[in-house]
Amino acid sequence: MQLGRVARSAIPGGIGLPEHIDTVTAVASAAVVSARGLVRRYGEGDTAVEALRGVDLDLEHGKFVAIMGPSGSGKSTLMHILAGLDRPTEGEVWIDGTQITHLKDKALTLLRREKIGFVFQFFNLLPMLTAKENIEMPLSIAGIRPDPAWMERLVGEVGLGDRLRHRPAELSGGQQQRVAIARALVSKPAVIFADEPTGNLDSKTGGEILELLHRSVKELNQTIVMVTHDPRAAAIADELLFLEDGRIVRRSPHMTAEEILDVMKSLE
Amino acid sequence: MFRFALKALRTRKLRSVLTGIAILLGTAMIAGTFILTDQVSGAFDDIFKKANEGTDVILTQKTAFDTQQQQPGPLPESLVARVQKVPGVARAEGQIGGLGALVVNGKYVGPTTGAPPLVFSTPSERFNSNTIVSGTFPAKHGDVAIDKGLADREKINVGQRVGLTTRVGQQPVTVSGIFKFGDANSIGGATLTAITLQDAQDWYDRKGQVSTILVAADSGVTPTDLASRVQAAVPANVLVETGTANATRQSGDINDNLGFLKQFLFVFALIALLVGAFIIFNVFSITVAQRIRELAMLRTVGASRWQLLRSVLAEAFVIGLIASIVGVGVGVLFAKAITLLFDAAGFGLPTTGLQIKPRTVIVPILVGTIVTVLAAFIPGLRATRIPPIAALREGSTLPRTRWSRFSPYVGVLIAFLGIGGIAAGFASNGSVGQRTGLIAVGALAVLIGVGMLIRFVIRPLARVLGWPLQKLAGNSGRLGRENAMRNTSRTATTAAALMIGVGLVVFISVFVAGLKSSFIDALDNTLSSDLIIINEGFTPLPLGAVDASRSAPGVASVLGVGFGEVRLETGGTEQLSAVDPSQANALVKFDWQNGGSDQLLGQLGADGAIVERDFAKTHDLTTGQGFGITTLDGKTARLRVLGEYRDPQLFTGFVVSNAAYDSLFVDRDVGVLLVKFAGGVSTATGKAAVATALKEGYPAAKVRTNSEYKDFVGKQINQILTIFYALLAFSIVISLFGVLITLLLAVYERTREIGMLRAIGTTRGQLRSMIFSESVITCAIGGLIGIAVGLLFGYLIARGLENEGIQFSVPVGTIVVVFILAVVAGLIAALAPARRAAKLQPLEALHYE
Repeated sequence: MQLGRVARSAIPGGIGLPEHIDTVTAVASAAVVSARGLVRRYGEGDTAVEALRGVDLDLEHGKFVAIMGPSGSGKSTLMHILAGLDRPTEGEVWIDGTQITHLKDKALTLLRREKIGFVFQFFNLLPMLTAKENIEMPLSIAGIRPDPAWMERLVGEVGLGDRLRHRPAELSGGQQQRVAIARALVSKPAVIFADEPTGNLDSKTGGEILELLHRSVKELNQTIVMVTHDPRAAAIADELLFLEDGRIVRRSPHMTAEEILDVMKSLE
Repeated sequence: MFRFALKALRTRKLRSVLTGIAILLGTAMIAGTFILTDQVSGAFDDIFKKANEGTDVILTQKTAFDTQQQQPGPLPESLVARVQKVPGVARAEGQIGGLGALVVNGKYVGPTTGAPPLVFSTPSERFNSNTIVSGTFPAKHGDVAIDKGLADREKINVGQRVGLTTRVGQQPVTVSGIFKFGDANSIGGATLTAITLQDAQDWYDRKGQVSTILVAADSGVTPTDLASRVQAAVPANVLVETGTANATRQSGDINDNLGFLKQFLFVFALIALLVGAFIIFNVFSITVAQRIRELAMLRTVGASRWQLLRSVLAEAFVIGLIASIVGVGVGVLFAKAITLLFDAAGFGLPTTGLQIKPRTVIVPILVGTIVTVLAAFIPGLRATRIPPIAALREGSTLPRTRWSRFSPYVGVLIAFLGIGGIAAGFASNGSVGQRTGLIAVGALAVLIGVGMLIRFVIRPLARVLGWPLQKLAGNSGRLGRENAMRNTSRTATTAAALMIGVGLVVFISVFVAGLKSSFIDALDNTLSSDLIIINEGFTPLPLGAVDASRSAPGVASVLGVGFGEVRLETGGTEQLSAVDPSQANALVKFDWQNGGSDQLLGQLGADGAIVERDFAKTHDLTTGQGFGITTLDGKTARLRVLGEYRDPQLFTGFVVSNAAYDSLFVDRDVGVLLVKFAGGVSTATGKAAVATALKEGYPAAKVRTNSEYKDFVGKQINQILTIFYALLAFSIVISLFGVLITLLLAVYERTREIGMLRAIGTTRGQLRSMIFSESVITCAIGGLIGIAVGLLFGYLIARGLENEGIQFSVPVGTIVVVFILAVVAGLIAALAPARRAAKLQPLEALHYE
């Protein structure tokens, strides 16, 4: 898509990664996020708790994927491991062709910087910076000058045009989450992970935020993996994964909120 | 509520410990000062008690006033026989004391500390507090016995032939014995040399005279009884005391001097406590702000405002109490450190073993605890203003107290009152104590006032100081700067704590630079000498050194300046200098006032005086008037004012001729010897010639060219500076703990932010640079404002002491070094917080509540 090409060329030369990352064998090249045999165990011996009990998945580029499940099903753990914030006890994860499970902290950090965007439930903006500065944060960290054209487009896309000079405390929850989404998009990552992005918003604002996320997937050609327990949120996704007791129990293309609710009821 | 506070302390151990350190060091300094001064005064008590052990009654000449500069004059030896005849006297014996040290193989081996080189005539066994350890006490002319400390230090053996510097020049002597003073090898760094009474009379110009008369009582006669009997038999100008009373009086005199040392050290302890108070205030403010939901929750379940205040104060009380108790223990180390520091700076102090009096423990604990509780009071008040509803809100901020909107005006007011106080202190005519007090309180007010105002300059300063960091550390530098700017009060208080230490360091360096440059200017402007000669160890030069140096080839003029202290008829004591009128104009350029000239020197005669302008002003003297003086021995004279000169540095007070000096003072010693070469004699040649001329007779004389003398004085001043800097270093260390705690608390508070930054790709190194930048900016602000305050103090004192000739001189080098050190200190203080931030796992940090 036209927009996608504009977006990619905005970062001159791309963000360089250390060489050893490039040498890692890539598998499932069609998938942006892949996982094989993920097990996450907490504690040892008799008291050990398995949050994930063997998860395999491949998530395609340009899709909006929702991970659903009752609380304690392991959905958050799965997202953390896929995003390189936590390490699996067993199994491996690939992000955009790079095997991340055995990367050292520094390399993993740099990979997150280039390939992954985050949207959090509590926005997690820096209170002392303006909206614009918050959005540009991932580029600043990488020492990259933002491309004005891309910034303008991005800001228009998330609908923050007149709020850029405001600090988070002067913005509503919905506006803060828009800033957070723009921050996740700004470096054009391979995948964006969203952790209950509407969990801290009223339903109307939440709907707008979901709409924005959906538009980013379609118009900016992004890939989003969203963890949620809200069927209405999940109803916007192109693909759904249901987790129960640390396993994927069901995969499905788009479903309505009612259908999702039924599945969830059957799981609980 | 108290239990709640204790629990709070336990769950926040690290913070409590670090907060405690802020107050601990201050209390340690108070306790250490008590311990040290008790040890020193105990040592002197022991010395004088031991010295008078066998002496029941002691006779000395009465002095007209109290002074530390001169010894009382001699008594006639005939008095000994008269005292011996008093019923109840078992034995009366004259003794002579003086100053002099050994010369071993041509090398002067006096005391290495500031202690005096003592020479005394050997008393008979009954009065002798020394115990011979090898050889014998001197029995014949030319014998000396020396203390074991010196013998060990210089490897001197019995039978060795050495020299002894005396008032009549070096004497060849033989070491007949080595002794201990009681059980001690030496006393407080002083050297002890015993000679025969005959030699003492010959070598100290005391023919037919003695310094003191020692009396032993018959058995059954009490010392007090004997004293009154002796008093009745001697003239009124003789002071008769019991041995114990004399020992007490002498150690009392020492204690007066120690009182100064005590006050001096207390000032630094109080500065340290002030710095500690700033930190306590800051930590409690942050803690209350961080616990806002918890405190609000307590309100919702029915805790009263007073209970909240009490819980905060209770926490402060427990921290203050425990830290102060530990501080007293650390005080022992502080006392030891100060002893070493003074030793290193050349002011050795004798000390006895450790003794801890009740007040050594009570005062620091009381002061430390009270300061801590007081510092926590305002944060406690703010805790009471948290509304219960805050328990339910995310991100509530602490309400400010009712008065906080006045704080900028109050800060400005306090700072200006402080400046006014300092100025008034200099201008007032009160006693030295009152004036110093006013100046000190003024300085304190300036520090507190400026401390209150710093928060208004944090943002602009951080912006300027952060700029190079942003260039250097990029985004991390920028985030560090933003973090430093986000809570201006917090950064301001942290910086203020550092400002105090830095401010005082800069102030002292400015003051001392002014002192040095005015003294050096005075030397350059007033003296036209080529050489400036003084004796080692600040003892006077024998009069013979004047003629000895005059005889050296190439010498054109020599001026031996005598010093003395006299009491004025109009009150107070004053310094006088005595000169040879025929030589003075060749060596001294007096800055004549009111049309005076060098011709006045020729008119000095036996009763003329030329007076320094300040002296004339103080005593309301004009040319032609007379003024009455009394010497220490009680001699009175009337001097005529011939003219006025201006010299606030060297020849303060007034100047008389040698003729007047001879008639007034028993001992015609020379304080400083000035030498001028004949035309065409090079400095090196002249100096060598004079040194050779003095070497044999006066080996203690230190011959220096003018520039060498200036260096020497500069070094002396620098040694004192070292002590000041070392004591202020404690305050600076405390303020660094403040930076450390504040950053740790900030990292803890911003855990989620740090987690987010890590998640979106910030490396550990970048995170560390961010914390380092924040710390460096905070410390640089503290450093800059400290430098500004120090310069202000320095300027005020230079203006205040203008009449004493103190100039305002800015030691640029020192200031640059201080600023760099403040920045480096910022890096050091940030080490632990940066490590902690970098160690946070992004996931844990994101989940953190």
